[in-house]
Amino acid sequence: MLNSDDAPVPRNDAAVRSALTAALRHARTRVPYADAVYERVFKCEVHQLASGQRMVKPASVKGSVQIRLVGEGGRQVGIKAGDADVDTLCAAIDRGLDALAAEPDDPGFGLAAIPNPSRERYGVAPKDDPRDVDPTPRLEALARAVDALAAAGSTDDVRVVPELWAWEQVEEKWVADTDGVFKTQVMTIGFVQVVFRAVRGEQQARTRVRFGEVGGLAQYIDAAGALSPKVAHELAVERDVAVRLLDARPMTADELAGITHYVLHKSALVFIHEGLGHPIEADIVRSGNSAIVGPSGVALVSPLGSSVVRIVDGAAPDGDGTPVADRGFGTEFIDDEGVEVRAAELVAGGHIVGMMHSRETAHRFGVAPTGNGFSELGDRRIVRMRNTVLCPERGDHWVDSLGELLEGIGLGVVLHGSLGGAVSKEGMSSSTQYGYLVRDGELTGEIIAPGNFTALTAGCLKTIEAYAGPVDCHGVGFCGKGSQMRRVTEGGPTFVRLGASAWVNLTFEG
Amino acid sequence: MTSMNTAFASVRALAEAVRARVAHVTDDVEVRVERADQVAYVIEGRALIPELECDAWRVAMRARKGGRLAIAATTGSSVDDAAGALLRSLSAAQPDALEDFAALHETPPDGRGWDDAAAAMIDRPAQVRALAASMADAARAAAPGASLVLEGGLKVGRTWRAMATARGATVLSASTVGSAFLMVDGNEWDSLAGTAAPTEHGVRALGRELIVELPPREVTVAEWLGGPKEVTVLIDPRLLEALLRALFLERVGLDRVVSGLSNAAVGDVVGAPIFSLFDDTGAAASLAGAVIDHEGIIGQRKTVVERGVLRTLLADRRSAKVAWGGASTGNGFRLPMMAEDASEAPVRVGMGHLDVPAGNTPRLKLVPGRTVVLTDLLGVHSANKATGAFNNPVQGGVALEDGVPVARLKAGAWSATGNFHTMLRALSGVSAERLHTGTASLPWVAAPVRLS
Repeated sequence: MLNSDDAPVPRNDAAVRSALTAALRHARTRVPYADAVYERVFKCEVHQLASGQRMVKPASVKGSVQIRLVGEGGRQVGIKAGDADVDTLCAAIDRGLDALAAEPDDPGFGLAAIPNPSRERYGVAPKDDPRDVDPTPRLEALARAVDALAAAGSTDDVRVVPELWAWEQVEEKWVADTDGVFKTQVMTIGFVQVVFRAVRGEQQARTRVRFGEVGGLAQYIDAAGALSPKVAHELAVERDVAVRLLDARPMTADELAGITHYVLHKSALVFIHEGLGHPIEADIVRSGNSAIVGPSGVALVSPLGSSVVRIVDGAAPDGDGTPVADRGFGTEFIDDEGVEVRAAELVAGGHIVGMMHSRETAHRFGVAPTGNGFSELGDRRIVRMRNTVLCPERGDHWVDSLGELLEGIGLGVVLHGSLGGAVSKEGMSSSTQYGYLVRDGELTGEIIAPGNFTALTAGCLKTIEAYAGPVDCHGVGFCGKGSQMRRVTEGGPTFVRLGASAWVNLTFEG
Repeated sequence: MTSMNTAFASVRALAEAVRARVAHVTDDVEVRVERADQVAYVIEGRALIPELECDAWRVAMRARKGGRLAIAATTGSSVDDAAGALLRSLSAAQPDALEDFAALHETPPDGRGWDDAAAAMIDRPAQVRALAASMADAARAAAPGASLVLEGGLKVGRTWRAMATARGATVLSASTVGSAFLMVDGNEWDSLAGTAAPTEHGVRALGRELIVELPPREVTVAEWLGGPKEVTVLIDPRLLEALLRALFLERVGLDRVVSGLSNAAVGDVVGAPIFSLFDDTGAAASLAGAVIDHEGIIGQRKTVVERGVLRTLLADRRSAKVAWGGASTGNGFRLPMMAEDASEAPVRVGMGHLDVPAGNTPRLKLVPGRTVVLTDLLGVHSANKATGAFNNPVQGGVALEDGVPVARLKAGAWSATGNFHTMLRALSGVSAERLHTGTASLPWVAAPVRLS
């Protein structure tokens, strides 16, 4: 993160500041406190559908304001306004006052103080800013590169059909309140998703690969149209897996009954987000919808996991698990309440040790905010994850290679990838894209068909035994909590070994 | 309060201004403008949280030039932003089979989806709040002494739209939405939705019946069925709708056929003879009954499946042109996926209001003996769109003994596995009752599913 003096200033900053200041001044004459966040996103993107239809959108612009009015007695209301001009904002505030009048007192409501209130600027300046430099050549080059990869993987029998969705967006954010806080952030985010469909007659199989990181698409494809070696390699691997999946089989009932271990590749760790992250979000805890933390904040399950389990949410870590401030698809420098993002240690030594907080939940639980208060373009700010990662302490349980990790496994499966997950109070479900069978400590080379991995929140972490490889936030995705989309990642060491138990289950399509 | 005339004038002005700004440099242009207000109250445990939305604008634009298609989207009411984005997109326009946009006909503003009471409630947030509180209170009163954890909410909204292309008139429409949703203990849920305002009676019944109809006992698969097995189950209309939209669309969408991802053809047997399906993009009082689709095609009712036989594939303008050289069925929608905003999503083939005719048998008599009714599956979106296979944990369901609800399905302890296309062909019953979900009118159906 750059120093405040070096951080970029959003465009039209003076006009936006003026509008927010005037609107908050209007609000302050009617309520004791108000704050606002305005987010504006400039996005360029390419879609290529399975039909071959390609759509390049070099310029889309979206933005919205969220204003929070806090009245006497802890009454509060949030209003979304479409435009950041004074008239629109003041009209929205006036409408919000009608709703505020209908609210009962809420003596427990409050907002934790914004740390470091005087610092104004955060972020990283865009390189090859797509607002100034036409992104079309790079977007088209990306599509051509993916087409070429697909063609190279096709055979006389099998056609590989690619789908591409990639974008780069410049996100600008302003946070201000009636106490004089004024903060801005500028971030560039790049995202690439490729689906390979292998088609043989009426048979189909598919794999999906995602990349997402702070910074533009230049990190994935250079100006000459060459994919980065890492991206090209991973795409080629997943393309070939899609073809192999045409001949994959599900595990048999006997194999499932006899399985002793699951080994999850870093691409299949969505259960960390769905099953363990959500129940430690303080707003879910407070509502009574967490199966592992009671509404008062006291852990209902202790220990939650085995002694080697440590989970952290924050900026993405390096391979050793140390957070790096400007890395990770879910990373920001300040949240949408102006709180500087800091790492929140959620589980350590298998015990729940912390929660993720907005200003509101931090006040209710009497702790410092963690910078987890986010909204989607003008929606209400709620507690959201950023990069949620298994970051174990060093020890004998963390080995270097998959081969070492597989030692002692009688019958197991290494599971890769997910097309998404979902969470309920008790547990979670995520698809798996493919797997490899393990017998007597060795990979057999047999490829296993897509399945569904389920984990019960209260016990699944107890089955984690060991890890292999460096930590990586590989699971790039979008969380839809409260119908608000937010970019996030989940991750951990390259492989995570779980013992079979009643807490976890793998099933296959009929 | 924003008057109807003022609101229509504002969306018309923006659509026509953008069109005028780009007309001289394009062959054809399509601009779709939405302006929306909303009042919602979210139930989180004991808390009731207000969420207001004022003047949210969405502008979705496409332009054609020299056989190429350009696409852009903005939020906000700025003509400069919208026209600027579209003009900039012209340089990135791609070759496309879509030859033109719809020629729109002059019609009076269409308010078939508009409910005055719902629209008026937006200016009375206290009334919306009282309804949400009443729904939660009714649920709690139905189980005195129990510590229910409730989630849900109640929402009313109004939207004004204008659509303009290079040819013809600017078409105006307006609609409202009223909906309520309640979930208990993170598992069982019920909802109501439509274009009308929620009523006190309706939301209290929703809260009360959700609790009263839940048996106190919980069972596992082993306890109820003796272990994993395939059984004929009752599929709740809400789950049926989710499966139709997630999986059946992948079979009957003409764009999927054009892409080679579906080999469906008119005349195929895709369901049991007791199953028929209509797609009605013009349905009244439905949130999926758009007056026109997102390409300007007037809503119409189509027979998709007649007694098990596929009668129509659903098309947007592009797929209709490519496959038929003819007209769209009016199923071109901007369906957002993941982080897309609706305005920036590409036009894809989607479904309108779904209508499955009722059968003759009361739903609780469809399956004798021991079975279950499945309300929802966790993560239907991750089912296999290529094959129609699904394999998901059960989220919401009840065990039935000769049609009588006797126990809840223990949360987190049940999974359902099957193939939706196979299930449709193997349907053994369609209920006499139907549920209006807000976007579909569907019965309960009996179908084989493996439970584990």
